[in-house]
Amino acid sequence: MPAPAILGTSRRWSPRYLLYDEFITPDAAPLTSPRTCEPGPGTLAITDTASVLSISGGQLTKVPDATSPFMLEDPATFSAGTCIFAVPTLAAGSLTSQARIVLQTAAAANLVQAVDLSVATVRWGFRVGTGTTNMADPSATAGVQGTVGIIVSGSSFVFVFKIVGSVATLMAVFPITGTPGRWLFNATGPATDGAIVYARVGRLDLTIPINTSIAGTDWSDPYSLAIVKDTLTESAGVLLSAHTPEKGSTWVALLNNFVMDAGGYFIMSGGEARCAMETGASDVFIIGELQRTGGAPCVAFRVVDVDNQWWASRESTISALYEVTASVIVSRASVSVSNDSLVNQVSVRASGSDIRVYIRNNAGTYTVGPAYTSSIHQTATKHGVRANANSGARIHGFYCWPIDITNSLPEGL
Amino acid sequence: MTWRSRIVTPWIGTGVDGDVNRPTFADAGLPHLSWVDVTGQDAANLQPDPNAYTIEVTTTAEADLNAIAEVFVELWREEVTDEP
Repeated sequence: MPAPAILGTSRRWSPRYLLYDEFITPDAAPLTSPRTCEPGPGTLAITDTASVLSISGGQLTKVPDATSPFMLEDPATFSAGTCIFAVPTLAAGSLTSQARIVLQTAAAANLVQAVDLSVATVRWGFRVGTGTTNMADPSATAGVQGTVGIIVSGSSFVFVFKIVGSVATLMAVFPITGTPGRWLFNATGPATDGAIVYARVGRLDLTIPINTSIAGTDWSDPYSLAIVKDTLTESAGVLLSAHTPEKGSTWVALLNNFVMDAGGYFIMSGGEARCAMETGASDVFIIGELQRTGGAPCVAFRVVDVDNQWWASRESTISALYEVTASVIVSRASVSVSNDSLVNQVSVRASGSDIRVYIRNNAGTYTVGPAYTSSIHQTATKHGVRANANSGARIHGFYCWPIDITNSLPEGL
Repeated sequence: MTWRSRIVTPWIGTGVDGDVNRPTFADAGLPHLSWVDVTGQDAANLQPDPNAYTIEVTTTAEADLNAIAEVFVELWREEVTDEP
């Protein structure tokens, strides 16, 4: 049975599923476990102690239920190029229901959750670990069915994506810590919310050779899709503007410059430093590897010129968002973070007017950073780094991915 | 569970590195998780006359909001219950 083409018809490669269930044959609760997927391949272990699951009309439905989450378990191993996805719909107006793809350890500790969360209006989001790191997308529309998924890339990176209509959007790129053990499709929701419906779930291998019309992206490499990859490996004394990134264009010094320190990181040279490079994309997901022993190292994004740009900082006890317009620096939002003088990842997701920052410390713990809504400098396509303390604000790495990944995923997801 | 409040706070700063434009609240040392400007006022006209500005503050406890309300004018507060 051909897969429904959510991503359009321009790509002629059909995904080769390793697990695929369209819930074809009607089946009343309780469902039999393990379930043989239809049309297959694969089986799913079902946990449904309250018998809230049934299949009808080509959909798996979880009726409103106050206490009993259900789980469809896929014990597949965590390997590069794995793409796991689901197509859930939450009832419009649901308050706290969630349909999730969860990556857990063998001991059932959550590593990553891709979430379809309904709070008055349906939001898409994801969480890392068991904390409160929830990264929602306010642009989603209530009651609209879409695809949410996770792609494993490399040995530890995951990409969280969503597809609504014909547009596939990157939600986040991040490394995980912990040893993955199993994938789950699960859902929770109170009796006061509407039913949660799954149209299909699946898993496929995106390392299988693909047609060149799919942009040639190799999802087993986390930097295949990146438009900038710069580990900032350089000889001591070399200026950033003379440094060539592994992937990306030329670094341009906008204010003073950065120089490679003997310690193996770039520091400002000549005073507060601002450098950026042209990427061709304004809606991006950026990871800056910053270390703060003084001052405020920043990811600079949506850089128009030296006097017009945005900064996401990693300071001693805060992460802040700064708007720089006509050379005036304005602090627009701030979030408290633990003091940490080790290398942190400062991630910026800039999508339209929605700007969100996430902080990953050296131990792998995430904190939701500042978020802000602004169309200032929204179309600027240069991004880079900024530092303001000699040797105290250190830049270790810089990476950038486009948000729109429509042409990098196969038809049929 | 968190608490959210909107408060009025003057802006301070000259808009340069080391003295950026920021709400007075940012320097007040009061316990909080985060704050965000909710007005989006133009950077070129940031400090109005009167210099009264609105930000949204998030805390982990209502007691923290009580302490903030003793220093700044509070417009409203609510308990945030929609965390997943």
